[in-house]
Amino acid sequence: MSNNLLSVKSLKKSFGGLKAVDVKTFDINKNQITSLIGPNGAGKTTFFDLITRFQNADEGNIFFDGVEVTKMNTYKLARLGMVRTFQLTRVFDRMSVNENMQFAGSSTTNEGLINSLIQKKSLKKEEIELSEKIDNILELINLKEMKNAYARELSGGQKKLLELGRSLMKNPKMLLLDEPLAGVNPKLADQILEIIFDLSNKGVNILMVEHNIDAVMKISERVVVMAEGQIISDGKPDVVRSDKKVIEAYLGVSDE
Amino acid sequence: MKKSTIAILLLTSIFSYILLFNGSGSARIFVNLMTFAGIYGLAAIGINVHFGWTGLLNFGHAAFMGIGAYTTVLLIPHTLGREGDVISTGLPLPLAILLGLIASALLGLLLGLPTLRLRGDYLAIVTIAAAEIFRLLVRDFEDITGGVYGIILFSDALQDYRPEIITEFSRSNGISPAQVWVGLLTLISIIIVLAILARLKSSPWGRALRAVREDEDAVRALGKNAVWLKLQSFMLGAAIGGLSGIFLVFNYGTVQASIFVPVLTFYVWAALILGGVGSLSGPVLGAIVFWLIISGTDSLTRILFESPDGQQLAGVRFVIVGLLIMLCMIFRPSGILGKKEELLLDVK
Repeated sequence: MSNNLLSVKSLKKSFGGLKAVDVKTFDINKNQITSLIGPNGAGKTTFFDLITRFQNADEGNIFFDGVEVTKMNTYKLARLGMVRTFQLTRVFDRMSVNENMQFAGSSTTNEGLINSLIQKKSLKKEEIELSEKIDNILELINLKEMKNAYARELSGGQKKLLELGRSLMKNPKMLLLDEPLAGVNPKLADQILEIIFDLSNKGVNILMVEHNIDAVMKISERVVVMAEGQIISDGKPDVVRSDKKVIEAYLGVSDE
Repeated sequence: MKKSTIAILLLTSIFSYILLFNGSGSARIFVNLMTFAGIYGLAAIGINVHFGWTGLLNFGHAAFMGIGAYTTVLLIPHTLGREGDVISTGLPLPLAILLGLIASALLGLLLGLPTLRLRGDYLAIVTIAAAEIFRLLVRDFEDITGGVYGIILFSDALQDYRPEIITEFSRSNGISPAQVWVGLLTLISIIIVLAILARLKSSPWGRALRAVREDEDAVRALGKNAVWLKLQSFMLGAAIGGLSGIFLVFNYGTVQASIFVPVLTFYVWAALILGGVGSLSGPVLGAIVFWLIISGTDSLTRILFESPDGQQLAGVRFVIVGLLIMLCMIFRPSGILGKKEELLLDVK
């Protein structure tokens, strides 16, 4: 059990009478891109929220990297290396692209009031190291020219990129992407997919929720299908694609 | 027009207005105006850390100002009003001021711990209520605070430090040396506080506060403790408020619960909004403009009414302040010195 990076046991969450999430077991154990798909209201985002501790589960246990995190604070879990993005992009609008990245990367020690006032050499050194790292990541996500622009001035797709880039500043072990391609034009979508693929090759575990089935089938090594809060199918893209339950619940007409 | 040009033009016209219309009394009016403006400006800087930097709605600043003032005054020699006890022993003033600031910060911690986990508007309600509870408690604990009669005869502790040169200078110009001294110390404090804040604003801490202001969930998702950041900001702003409260009561020479009414908080907010939320020196400029209106409306009212009484004066004042804030919101919603791109008058 402890070999799994992420391990979920009988996780349940209801809103009133509605069972939003009811997942018996779910493990992620090796370097791969896993996609979570399902019809609207299937509980995908709630499942994300439960795993990342943005919502409390009613029942069940979550283990991340060998540690039980079922009751852990959101920010502490993120420090362990589980970083997420949001369905509705959440960049810091009234800060520059650079500041968005700096904030994500800077250490919490330097963000202490006293340390920020004294500004020891180590703090300045870190800021310089950060700026190198930021340049590299901005290069990767093609936002170098926008470095000093306010984040609110970016286009929707660029904001998605910034959010992704910001998460990379944390050197995540596992990256949870909530609809990274939603509202993004096809060209930019291809670019984002390429970045995701690269990250996976570099050893970052990816779990993403996405509605673009073509993209999901192309990039994922494993596809998990949710419907009405439960996992109804789980496996390689081809296997899932031909699963009767999945076709019934979701894909329907997608077969040629 | 550049912001600094606007600021200089404004200040020049304010000062020439004082000189032109008040003749021999202008020195006195000038010192009075600048002292109050400085004190309110300092208080507004505190709210600016809360609201402009971190997005925290604090409508109970009077309590932070009050607890700083009461703590300091009670720790130095003082007399309780109306035949009250004379307490002739006490701590040295600098230590008492330091403890006053700590008391303000601790009140910030106390209020912040249960409320900063909640959404912005809850904090606003809690701070209003807390400020009123503070004021009513102070009024009722008559044995310690002198109740409605307040505390008097404590300002010597500050005036004893006054250099002789200020006394001579003030006397020869017909102004109160005590007020000049308080005003000067306020000015020095503003410079020190602004220097510290300027350093913090561009530091990782300042950056983190702005991130909290923009989106707390994103802050959490990036592994940062948003509640702790908000608490630090709340305590720092509270301590700055406490410092302004201390100067306020030394300027009056007396402390009463009635000084720390809710309207004090709203005056400070008015100064902040006029000057520009989020900018460093905006609150101070806003406070000067605000106090010019408060103290300069007399002559205007005399033109409007034949022999205005106090009530009419007060009425006209607030009509003008209100109009000015409305005009400001329409034509310059970011305040005189605020950045348009960082317009902040919304809370999540």
